[in-house]
Amino acid sequence: MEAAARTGWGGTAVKVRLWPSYATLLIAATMASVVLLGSPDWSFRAYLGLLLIGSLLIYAQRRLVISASSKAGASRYRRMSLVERAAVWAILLGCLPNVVVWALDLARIVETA
Amino acid sequence: MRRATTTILWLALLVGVLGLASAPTARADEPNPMQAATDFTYRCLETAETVSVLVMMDYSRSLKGPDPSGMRFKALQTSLGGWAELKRADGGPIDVEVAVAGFAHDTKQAAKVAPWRLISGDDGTEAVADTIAKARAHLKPTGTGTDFQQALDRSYSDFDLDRRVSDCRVLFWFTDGDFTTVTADGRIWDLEDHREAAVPYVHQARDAMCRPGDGVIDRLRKAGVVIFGIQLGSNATDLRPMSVGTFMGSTCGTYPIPDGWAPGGYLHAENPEGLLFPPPISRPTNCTDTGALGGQIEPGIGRVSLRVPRSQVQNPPPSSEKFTVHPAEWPPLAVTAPGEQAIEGFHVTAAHDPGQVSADVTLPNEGATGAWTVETEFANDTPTFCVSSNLDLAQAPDSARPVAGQPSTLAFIATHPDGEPGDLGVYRTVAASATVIDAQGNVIESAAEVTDGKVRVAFTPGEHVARVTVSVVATPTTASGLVLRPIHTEATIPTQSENLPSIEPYDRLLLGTITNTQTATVELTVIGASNGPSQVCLGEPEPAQGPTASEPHRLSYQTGCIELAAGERRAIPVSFTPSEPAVGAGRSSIALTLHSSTTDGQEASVQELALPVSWHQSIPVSYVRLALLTTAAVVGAVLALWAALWLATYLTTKFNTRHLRVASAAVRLTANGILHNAAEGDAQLFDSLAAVRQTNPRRVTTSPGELSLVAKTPPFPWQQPQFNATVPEGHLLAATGAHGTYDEGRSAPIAPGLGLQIIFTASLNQVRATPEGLPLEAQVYLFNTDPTLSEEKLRALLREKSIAQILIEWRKLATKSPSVSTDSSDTTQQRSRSWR
Repeated sequence: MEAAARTGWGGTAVKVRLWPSYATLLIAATMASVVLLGSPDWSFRAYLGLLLIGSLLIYAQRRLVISASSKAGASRYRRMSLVERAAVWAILLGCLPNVVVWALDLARIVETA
Repeated sequence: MRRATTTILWLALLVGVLGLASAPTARADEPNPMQAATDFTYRCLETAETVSVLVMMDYSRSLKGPDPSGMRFKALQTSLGGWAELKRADGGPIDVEVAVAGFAHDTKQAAKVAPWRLISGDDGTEAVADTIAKARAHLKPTGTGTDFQQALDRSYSDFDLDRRVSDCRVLFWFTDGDFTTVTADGRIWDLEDHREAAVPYVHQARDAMCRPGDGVIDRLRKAGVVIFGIQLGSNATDLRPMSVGTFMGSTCGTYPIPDGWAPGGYLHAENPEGLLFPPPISRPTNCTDTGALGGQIEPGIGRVSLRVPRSQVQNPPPSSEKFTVHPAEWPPLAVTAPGEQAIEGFHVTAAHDPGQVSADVTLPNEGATGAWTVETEFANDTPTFCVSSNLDLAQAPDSARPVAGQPSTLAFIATHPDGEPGDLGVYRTVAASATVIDAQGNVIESAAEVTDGKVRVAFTPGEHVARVTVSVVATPTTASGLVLRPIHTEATIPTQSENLPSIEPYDRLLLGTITNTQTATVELTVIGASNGPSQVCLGEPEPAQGPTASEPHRLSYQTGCIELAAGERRAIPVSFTPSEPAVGAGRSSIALTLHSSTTDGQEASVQELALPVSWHQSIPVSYVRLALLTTAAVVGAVLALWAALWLATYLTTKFNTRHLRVASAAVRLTANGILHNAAEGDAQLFDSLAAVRQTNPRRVTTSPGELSLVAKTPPFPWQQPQFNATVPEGHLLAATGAHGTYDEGRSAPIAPGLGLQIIFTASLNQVRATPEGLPLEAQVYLFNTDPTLSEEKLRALLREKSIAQILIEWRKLATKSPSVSTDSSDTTQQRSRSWR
């Protein structure tokens, strides 16, 4: 999965591999569906897992983009592409429903007699 | 009665002029190729309990041409998927079995392709998929020619009419060709291979098939097999008359087809994408077809389901389409299918498919009597209407409790779905029936009738009957005589008895909502028999079922027997304490034994009851805590992502210092170019390029030191890193490749790669002190990571640079900036040099 894009000053066409972004989208969708289980434990795991893996993947994606720009001799780094931004939003949106599930569980006022 | 959406054959909806439209040579008086078959099948399926669908698929080699990817199997799978969901019009189940056989120059019997298999039921989808997979595997297009006679003979035997029982039988007969092949005299005769010789054999076989009375066509029709001929590619001459009975003046079998025999249908598709095996569509159940009444809606009708067949099959149907329902005197209902709309008190659910548009209309409580019509964008046959009362039955609020041992009457009223009372008086008649049973399951004789708009059930419970279960069914008939679907209800009601003690509440003890592990307590009241002392015994609590997987706690109440005087009331606290906090419903029951009074020296009778007890456990939520947790988690997520992006940017925001070489030289700048120091020059500048070691890639400093290259990481991920050349206050710079400067000429953006970067700097005072037209003393810096740079290339670049533009820009900046005191040693030093 590659995308060609024009960079800033240099105007060099840069081919960037976008697999981390696509992987992020896939993982975000999977983790978001964990909410259907209705299990606070699994939702918490999904939240943490998505955050950790997602952060690593978007870090990797940014490095790939910058590395590709640099190799192509571009005078500026490439801005975040649509799919890259979508991946970031997907992480947040994938986390949110899981957060609600486990936060709702933790927010219960448990009092035992 | 709730609206139940089930599926039934949509054949009735293919009534359109499919065949007429697809057969340009057809005569105007040709019968509709689907009408009779769909009507027959529709009627059959209304009461059928079993249906057999046999698929006779062509597997001749010719299919490689029109359908190389096997679209015919996909079309068949879609159709069978619908057949698997078949329900009768009254909602009853239908067992649907399917088999697939094949034919070309010979045949493959169903037992060796896809044998008979039930496709209705829970595993219907799997069964259909398996059947299709088998058909695909065994019916690869390998045969030569198409022998229609063998195809139908094989179909007849595969239906196994003598042994297999079925209420409705359907044959899908698919081919892309014509009757070309016959096996006779021990060899295969094919019209394409040896036309002259084969023609008599094919004619003979066709005549045998179509012979009235004992030809295979008539035998199938007589046995009730509806033949749907499905032709792919160009119209052929044999399939249509063999299926429908007549075409272009020739007939096949007894024609007109006698009453009681199954007619046939014919579908034609030019290409595999348009291929259609008669599939099912959704249609409402639990309603009554209006028949000859058509759209005349009478008082008492609460739901109208209407269908409008298309004039021509549209496969696939448009993604959405509009039509208008005119409900008598009411404003028109503009409907979009598919979709649900609430309009003027009407609730409309619209649907559509290749053969029809349909709408399920729930009427306002006051009804919408009169003539209904439907207006669609296509010319259509008459819409069909299916109606129901849409009423429920409920026990009348003022209905007295039955009394044990005495004639009792329970009253039930009709209600609309919103709970408002309905009026049974609008019907010509309402036939009512009821069944009453006691707690032991014994049937109590009862009579039901409708008076004053209520269904009244009269019965006499036994003297020792503590409660009864009453099932009531009411069947309304409209003013015109249309018998609507029955409405029914069932209720369990305690009796009043002089002899028996009673309990309150009598049907269910509700403990309410229990928070965490608090204890919920309610009172169960036991009331003594009115005519003497009686006894109520409470058994041990039953195990509780709650949201906790295994709830060890049980109901708490006083067990044992309680002696009650006549009419005495005693409250018994019943409580429950959950073992642990949880969220969800819980239930248990109390085993009660009611001992009757012993008047007149009779032995006490005993009634055993199980009183259901239910509760709901909850754990309250702190919304403040919820908001804080959610906010913290979201902020944490945003920060983590921000950190990842920032880190990636930070780690890469640096100049390329690998193989970096730097040189600098004093120069004099004139509008015509650069004057070098006599001792130096371009060659000297190039030769003085020296490798830079131990350089911070985020801040590259130079000698004599007034120039720095600075890489800055932005704080936010959406911002770009900055790579600038900067000089201290009192200096100016100009860089190649940069579009201007900022910070009053002290900074300029440069490329981080530093392939070849030339930067000029000058003292602000020097710029001011040098009159326009005279050479300006400046410093030039050369940064280079490109090993291929040559002296000639450098010279050319230096000559290309527009020094005049730099001088103009600098003089402008010098005019604007306040004067700065700087050390003039370097300018003095430069002035003392000789220039060329």
